[in-house]
Amino acid sequence: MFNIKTPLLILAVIVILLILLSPTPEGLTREGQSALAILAMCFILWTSAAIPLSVTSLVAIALLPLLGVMGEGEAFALFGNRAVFFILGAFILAGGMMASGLSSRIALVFLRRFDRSPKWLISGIVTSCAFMALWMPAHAVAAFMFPIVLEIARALELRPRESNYGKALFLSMAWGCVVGGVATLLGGARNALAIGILAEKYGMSISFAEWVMAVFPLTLVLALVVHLVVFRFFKPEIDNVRPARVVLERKVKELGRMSATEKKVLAVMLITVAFWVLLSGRLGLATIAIMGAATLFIIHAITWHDVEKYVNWGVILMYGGAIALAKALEITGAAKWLVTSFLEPFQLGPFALLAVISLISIILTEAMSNAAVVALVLPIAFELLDTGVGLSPIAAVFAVAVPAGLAFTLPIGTPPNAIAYSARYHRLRDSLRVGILLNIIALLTFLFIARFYWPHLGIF
Amino acid sequence: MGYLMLVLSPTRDNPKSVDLALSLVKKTQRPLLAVFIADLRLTDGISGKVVDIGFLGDSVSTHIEEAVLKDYEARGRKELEEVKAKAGALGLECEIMIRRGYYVDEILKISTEREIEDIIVSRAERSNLSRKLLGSAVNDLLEQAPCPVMVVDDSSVEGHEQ
Repeated sequence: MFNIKTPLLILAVIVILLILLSPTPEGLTREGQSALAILAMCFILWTSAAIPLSVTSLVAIALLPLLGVMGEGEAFALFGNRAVFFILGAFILAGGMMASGLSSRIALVFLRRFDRSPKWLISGIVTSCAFMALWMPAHAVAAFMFPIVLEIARALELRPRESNYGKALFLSMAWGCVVGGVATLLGGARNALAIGILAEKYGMSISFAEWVMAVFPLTLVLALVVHLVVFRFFKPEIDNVRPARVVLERKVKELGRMSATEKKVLAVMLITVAFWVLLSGRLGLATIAIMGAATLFIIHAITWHDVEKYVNWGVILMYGGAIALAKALEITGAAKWLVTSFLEPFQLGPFALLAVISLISIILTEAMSNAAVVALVLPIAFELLDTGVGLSPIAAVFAVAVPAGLAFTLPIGTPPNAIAYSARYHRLRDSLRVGILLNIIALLTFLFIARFYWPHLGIF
Repeated sequence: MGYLMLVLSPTRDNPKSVDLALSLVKKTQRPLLAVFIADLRLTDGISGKVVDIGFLGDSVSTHIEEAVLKDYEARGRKELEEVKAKAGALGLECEIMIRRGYYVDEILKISTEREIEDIIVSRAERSNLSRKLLGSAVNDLLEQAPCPVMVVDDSSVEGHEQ
């Protein structure tokens, strides 16, 4: 069968060669031109996922010294960025929650309280997914919620692609994860990546509590909007969910009493989050994350084998490579050249610039990994700030990272959408039609919060 | 006398194909073999998303794939029982089968295991460009099938002699 990935790989090679072999434009250094060639390659490969994202990052980080953009030592040292270690620690903690069964227990106990009616059950799914995505990556939440939702759909004898309630169940799961995943640094690694790029460029940081303060209201509003939109567009054709109640009761019973391992993981998770909220300014996000992860091993709550089952080590390569690429664009002046050549003529005020950056991020994230959006857009957004528009780098971080997490439309946009779609209870046109509406509402709500709430926090 | 094979899958379940199969079986008095294929191509993408983009471990994607395939099979069993009941009501002989594997490979395997005279498949509405660019399992089947294949689209029925 014809495989579209091969021509895309060839296209990436052609584009990189074309940029490298072209005469260097005025105002751009040779190193900057090479950095732009690598950026173009990453854009094609991250968008198309022709090869795994982490492999694209690996190629990028090898090309940086090879093309003379930065020294080998400097390029590889960026893998040791603290944002990478924060992400790694957060993934290990999430792995502990999944391996011990704690994540499923919390979700089931939560969901069990919402099994009164079809609408209540949808509310339960949105709320429990959004709540769980505050504590662990949103796609991990989708992964353990999916079999539960699938079993509910089967018990209710919903007809795939025909049942409105079937569509509502899976889309609420995906969208609940999406809206929860933006609220904390744990919901999506892109948030930590954005902070990592911020630290590399400006030496500034955003604490765990500051992030939550700035974004949590958005999650609350969007969770409510998801409820309303799902009820409006997918009116349930059933009037009782008794079979779903039976499924949930059975699953809760199967879990039995909370195990010692679950209790240990819960304690470590709560203590780690408390440290993040109260002490991240003094101790550092990454140090706390790694200490939390290490504690899980020390108290025998998880093993390396568990971690290997639940964490893909490519995570280090992806985020290390993304930070290295951002650094290369900055130090070679490539991002500055892009901005002065193409974007400076559009003189925008701070709010208009924030709106444009958010719009670009929310559009791009529908077609590519949200971490890739942060890696590609944030360095350029920072250069735009340096032209003196009066927008703070911290506001730019939120303007890129938060909309980058709000992919409601396509399965390609984010793993929760892809996981939900794999059940084939809804068609692409269902998520497209309603997802676009959610994108618009999400962007407007985000801008409203930025304009009227962030000034009270000193962000905007 | 050989079988007429009706192939259903999670994304290709056009009721017109069932009606066509039953009317042909009735006309030719051949036995019907109704097959549901839990297509692994549909779950292959999950691993890409969960492992390569979500950076979760293999066991997470395996867990999801297994849940999806089980659901497909349960769904297939139900659809096949419905086909069998319809055939029974018409006094027609009907055998049902559920297979897990790649769509084209499984159809070709069954074609060699059993005496299949004709195959009926349905396919989702897509543009020819999308089929060329992204590939089409039904097109691949048309190239490789050892017997005639009838393709039921949402709007038409195409016959392809081998």
